[in-house]
Amino acid sequence: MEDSEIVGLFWARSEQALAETAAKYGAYCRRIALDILRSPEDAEECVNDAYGKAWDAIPPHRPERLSTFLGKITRNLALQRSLRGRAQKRGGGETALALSELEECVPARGEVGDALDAQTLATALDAFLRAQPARARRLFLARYWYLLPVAEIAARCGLSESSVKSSLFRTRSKLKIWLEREGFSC
Amino acid sequence: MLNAEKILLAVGDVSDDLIEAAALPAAPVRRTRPARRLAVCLLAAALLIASLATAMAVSDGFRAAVHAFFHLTAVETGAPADAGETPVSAALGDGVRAVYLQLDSVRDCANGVIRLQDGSALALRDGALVPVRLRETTAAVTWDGTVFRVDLFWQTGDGALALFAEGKTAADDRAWSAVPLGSRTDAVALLLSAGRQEARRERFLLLDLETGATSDPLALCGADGADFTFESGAPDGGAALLRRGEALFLCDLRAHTLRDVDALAGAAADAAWFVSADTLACRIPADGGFAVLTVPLGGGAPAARFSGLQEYAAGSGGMIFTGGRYGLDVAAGGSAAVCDFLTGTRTPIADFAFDANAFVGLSPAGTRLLFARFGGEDGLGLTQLGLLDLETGRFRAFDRAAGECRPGESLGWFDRRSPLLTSAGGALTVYRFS
Repeated sequence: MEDSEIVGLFWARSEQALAETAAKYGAYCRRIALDILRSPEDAEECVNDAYGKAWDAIPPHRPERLSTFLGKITRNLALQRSLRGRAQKRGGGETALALSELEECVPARGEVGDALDAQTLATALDAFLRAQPARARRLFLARYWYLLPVAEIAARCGLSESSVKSSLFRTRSKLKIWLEREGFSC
Repeated sequence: MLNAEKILLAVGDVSDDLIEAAALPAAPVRRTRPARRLAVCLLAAALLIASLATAMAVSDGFRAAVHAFFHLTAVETGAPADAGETPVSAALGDGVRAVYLQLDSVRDCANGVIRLQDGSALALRDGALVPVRLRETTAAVTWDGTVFRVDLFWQTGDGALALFAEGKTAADDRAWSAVPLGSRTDAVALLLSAGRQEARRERFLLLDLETGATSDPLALCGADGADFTFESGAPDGGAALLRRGEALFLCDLRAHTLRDVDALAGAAADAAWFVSADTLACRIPADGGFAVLTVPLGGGAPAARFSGLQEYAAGSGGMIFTGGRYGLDVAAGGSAAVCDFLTGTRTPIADFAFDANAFVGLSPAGTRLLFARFGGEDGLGLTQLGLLDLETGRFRAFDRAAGECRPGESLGWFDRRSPLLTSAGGALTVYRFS
């Protein structure tokens, strides 16, 4: 079924929308959640929650790309769950590692302000990533959007772990400078 | 809230097109494995792929102008419900069959050998499981103030080593692993590590399987091995590719020399891999893309093989580098061609389309490409599986019946030529392509 038809079912409040979403994007969402949470049970719960969020959001929303719309919801829910696990001292896995790596990007002169609009930061990140070479951008998002371990990124891209790490290091260094230049510090 | 958390959360809201372009091909890995163990397995697989990639000569069949994709009409429906511990074979047509194994206590597999939880091992021979004896090698190595107690198990068969080797120390971030060095059965690469992810450091040593003695190849070259990490071994085990920072080095394990790969290639390489025992392929970033050239290790000028390559991304296509002699070049529309980095030849695959749900990986023998398509609901969501034999040019694939086959947990190689799908509860499926 075409995405527009599935979105139409959401707007018509037909529960068939959920069945069609699960059939078309269930595996995609599960893969995102599983890559972040590394627990099939948690991932399954997360995907079901994502369907519920999508049901609540459509309407009024009418996503242009249903796949990434669902992917973003799933990623956000999985990340929140992973961060909660970290706060409760349950490790946090790749999320904890990714956070420790991203600490390097925080501008040196201060903190990213609490009042900072998340969307403003996302827009700046978007512009930053578009200015990077395609490979560096892809590796950065594989690590920090999909939260894949370095070894898995290397295997999926046919690169060595060292190459992936080098690229991530360079991109993080550039991001720090970019954030400082864009005024993301107190 | 932590600052890094804000950045991580904000990354989630970047534009859809960036997210789509960053989607990587699915990897045939066990997703629920601990990261360290996974890294070891991936490293071992990469080593095998790189080291054995060109062990076999290219046949006349491969020189055909086009590879033919043949979609089998048979559909895999899974193991019979009454299958016990005796392997059950199901023909899928055109020389393809699935062999279903059910073992209660599988620990891991390596090169056709299945290790059980109790330490015993089985091999699949002529459709039956037979016991095999694993040999044990032990060693104690001190590095960076830590004693690494190495205890590995191995067996030789099928012309290559079946190696079970990884372990940890009392310190949580210190581990060791061993990987085969090409076709060598006398010694393996012993890798000691400390730290995690970005802070990870590694020490590369050689371990003699008979005596358990270790040697330091970099010290024999007159170098300090502290900053080097192991990339891969040559197919004959005579050399190793190492990395220090972003620089690549070729360590000749027999002549005890260490050479800068950039100097050999005459250009700055961001990646390199063995395409034969005496030839290295180097990837050179150029003009927003990549060129690939080959370097004869015995001496001689580098040879340009491909240029203007882009790395694969869903939607826009590009080259899928497999870590071995062959890569898959995918066009934006999904049509694909096999590229031979050793010879510089490009062979299209007729009647075949690659997409964002598809995956390819090179066999440990380096002569077969595994093809898988995902999108189902269960486990890995594996809906189609195939294999391109690069020696004959035959590309056969079959569909898997949704809801009837056991959900897969990991996809990889059983031995040097046969794909393996593992499922929960000790269920293994070995796919034989004649």
